[in-house]
Amino acid sequence: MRITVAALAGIAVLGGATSLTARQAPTFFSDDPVWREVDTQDASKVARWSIDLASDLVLNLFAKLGDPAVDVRARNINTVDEVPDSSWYTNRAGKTAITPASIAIGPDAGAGPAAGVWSITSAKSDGITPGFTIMDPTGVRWFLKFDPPGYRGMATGTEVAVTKLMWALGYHVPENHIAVLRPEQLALGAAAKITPVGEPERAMRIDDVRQLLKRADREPDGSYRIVASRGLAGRPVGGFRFYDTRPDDPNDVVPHEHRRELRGYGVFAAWLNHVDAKAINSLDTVVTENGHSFVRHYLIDFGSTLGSGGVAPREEWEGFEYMAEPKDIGKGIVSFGAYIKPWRTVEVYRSPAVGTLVRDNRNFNPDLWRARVPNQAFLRARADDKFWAATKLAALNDDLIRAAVKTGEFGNDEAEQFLVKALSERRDAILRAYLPAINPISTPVLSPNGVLTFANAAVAAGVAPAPASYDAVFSTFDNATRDSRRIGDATSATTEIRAPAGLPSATGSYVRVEISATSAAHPSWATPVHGYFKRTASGWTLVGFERLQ
Amino acid sequence: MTIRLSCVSIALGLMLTAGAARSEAQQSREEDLAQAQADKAKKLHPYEPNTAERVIAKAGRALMGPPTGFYPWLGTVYSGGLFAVGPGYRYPFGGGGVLDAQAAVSLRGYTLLRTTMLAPPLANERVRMAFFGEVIDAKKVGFYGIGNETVETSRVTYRYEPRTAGARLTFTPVKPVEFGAAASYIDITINESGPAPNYLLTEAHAAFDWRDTPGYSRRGGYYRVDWSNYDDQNGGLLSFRQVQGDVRQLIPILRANWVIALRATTSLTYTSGDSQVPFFLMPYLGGGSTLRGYRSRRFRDRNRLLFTAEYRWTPSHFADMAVFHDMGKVAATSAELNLSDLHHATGIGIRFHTPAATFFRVEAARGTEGLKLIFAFSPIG
Repeated sequence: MRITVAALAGIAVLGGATSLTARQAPTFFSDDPVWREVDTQDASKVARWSIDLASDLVLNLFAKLGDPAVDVRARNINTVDEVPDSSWYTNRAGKTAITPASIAIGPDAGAGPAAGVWSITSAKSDGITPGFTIMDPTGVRWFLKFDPPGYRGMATGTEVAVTKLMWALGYHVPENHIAVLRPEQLALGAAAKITPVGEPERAMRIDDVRQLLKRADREPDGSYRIVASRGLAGRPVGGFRFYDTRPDDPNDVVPHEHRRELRGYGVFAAWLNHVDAKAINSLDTVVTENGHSFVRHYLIDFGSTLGSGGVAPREEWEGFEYMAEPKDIGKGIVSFGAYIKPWRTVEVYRSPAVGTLVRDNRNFNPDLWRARVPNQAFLRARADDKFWAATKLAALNDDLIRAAVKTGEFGNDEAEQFLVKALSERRDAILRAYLPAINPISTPVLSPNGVLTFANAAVAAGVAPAPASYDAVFSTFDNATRDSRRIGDATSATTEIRAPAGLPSATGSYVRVEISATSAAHPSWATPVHGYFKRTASGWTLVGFERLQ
Repeated sequence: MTIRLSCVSIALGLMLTAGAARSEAQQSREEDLAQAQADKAKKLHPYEPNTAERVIAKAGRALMGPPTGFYPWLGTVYSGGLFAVGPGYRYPFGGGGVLDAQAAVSLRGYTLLRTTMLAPPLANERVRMAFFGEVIDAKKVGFYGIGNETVETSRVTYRYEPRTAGARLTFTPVKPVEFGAAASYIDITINESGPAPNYLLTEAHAAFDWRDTPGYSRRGGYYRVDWSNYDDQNGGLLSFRQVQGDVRQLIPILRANWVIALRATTSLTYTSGDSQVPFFLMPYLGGGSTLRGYRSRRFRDRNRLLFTAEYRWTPSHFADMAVFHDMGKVAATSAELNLSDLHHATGIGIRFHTPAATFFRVEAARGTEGLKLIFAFSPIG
């Protein structure tokens, strides 16, 4: 009997008592892999909380929050290394067919606020971004935001276009529409409140409306182009942090830093230059469906993405470094300015319609991209999390990107084309960085007659040459004891390999296949992925897949 | 038989389970997940921010916006008085109006009582009016004589106690242009038995400010002319007029990796007949914002000329470094304000700032009278 070093290490980590009991539990349940993570507990008692901006920024900048363990595999994935649908995430790109028409609709269930009088219920008055909450004539609540003066389309168009892309990538996002506001259609609601900077909350006055509108870009006819964000279904209970769990939500059992869709969000944030991916730009709502209450988790507020900074074009440093880089400060001080950071010299594209973004993104390096503030989930992302995200991005072709960007109605063809090109180049750079970095073999299928087929995601995406050969080691696998017995191996120059003789034929039996590739360009592909198949009446079903230990 | 007990299988077995014992009892992954949620349902509790979060949140509220109610005030009472601290009280009212009051004492025992009422803006925010009252007791202000050639060893001190009440109006027809006017009454006591003039001070200014913000900027310029009339209410012998010009230019290089900051300022005073300019109201050089490297108010006379050049670099988004050179002179007549006999000081400093305000700077500057350290709560320009 030979027990591998890895196994010993695994046992040591798990601890004796745990491993003893673990041996008695099956590796795969009958319902594996699960594709839907159900929130079973009643979450109606979840209370509203407010995440303080200052403490969120400071603690994320200067502390490591959440689980101190490093290199932890994502904990909300199913047994085939994928993210199940849940109150956090819905598989779309790469899983379901998305067309230019469907991405243009995205999460939208309607066409925006109904025409007529919009009754203001409150104002966003943080002193930076002007905005209102209104009720339209049909009683639907909307949040209205504007472009900064002189930048027609920049913030509103970016918000809408990125919302569509994030929807396609699987996140819960609000319904955002480009719309037109005429000041005369605004009416002050009887209970409208405002909290001006440095002042206590008070009843809103019509002069407050005028003051807020002064900070918005106005059309020549006196109207305002806005983005109207439909109020989310359910009771808002505040944002979610990117570490730990919410203590009053019974269904929130996986630390957020270990959720793959939140780790992968970092790859998408890099793609979209979403430097403002922080807790405050998320929102949880308690939703009741069929008498059952649970928390649904949304990503909101994409006005500070791509070239837009929301209230101004993106600052050149954003995307290149954190707001505070303590290690760099010393170098900066003693160099008397001779230490020149890359963002100081990179050529940027500037347009009032889309803001400021790096002009040439062909050599974009997603590993060097930075949000304004470190995000604990992004920091925990491993190569398999990034690979997962890259496969989602690979499913968004240029036509889909173009369709999403078009929904921003930027009003500047040249700027829109630049955005499409930039997103395409950044996507390709991400695929080049993350798909070949680890063994990219995916979606293995074992036919009833023992032919193993699979895909190579890196080769399929055109970011790596095909390897010289593929190797597969077949073993029986005991689901109860986890013991395995080698059956044999096979080699092929293609992504199709015939299994050696000796595969079990009894229904309910399992085989494990370790698949590796020989590639001079990518030695990491020699580390095998592991696929687990269960014999059913109709053939072999994939029940387990592991890309990275 | 070879058995490879890989950690793959162990990891898979535990991947979606909170504990093996729990898995043992479940028959499906769905049940297993449900059990994990049921376990947590027994341990729910409301979110409570920890100590660090509470402290940072409180500090953040103080830094990120103007305070409401009582707050700790830090600043300077009068140049040369060093740090001052005391309670402040801020009360916003009427859609943009603010009542702000401070009481403070400095490390040198200087005291300050100040109240400012900023009225709500008028005329579509183009007009702002403020009323103010202030009592200062600067107990030991340095005096080295009058003129550009005084010596440091001649230093004596005097007690300076101005009490001021007045009103100020600013008009911004279109940004970045600003006009302003003010009128105030000043009752001054010098030492306990010294002169005690009373002034009706009228002032006017015009400014063109295209910096990002007055509190912190890496680009733009600031150009301002001030005119002041000190009308002595006790016979007019100490009446005088003053004109001051101030030009500041910020030149960013390579996306403000470097910033060249230049400043030139001059103050000219005029009198009529036998009138004199009292020494305690003369333009001066020396201190944290004029001719660093010399003690506060080291040189004073009826006229003043000051040049400042800074080479700044930006090692972080919240701190700038600078090496600088100041040079200036004071003179009895405006004709003497030439480039000869300038006093020079060179130094280095660090400034801590937010995107809109400089809240602290530390500088070391050396003139001909040794090294001076500067701690200030205001930008240099």
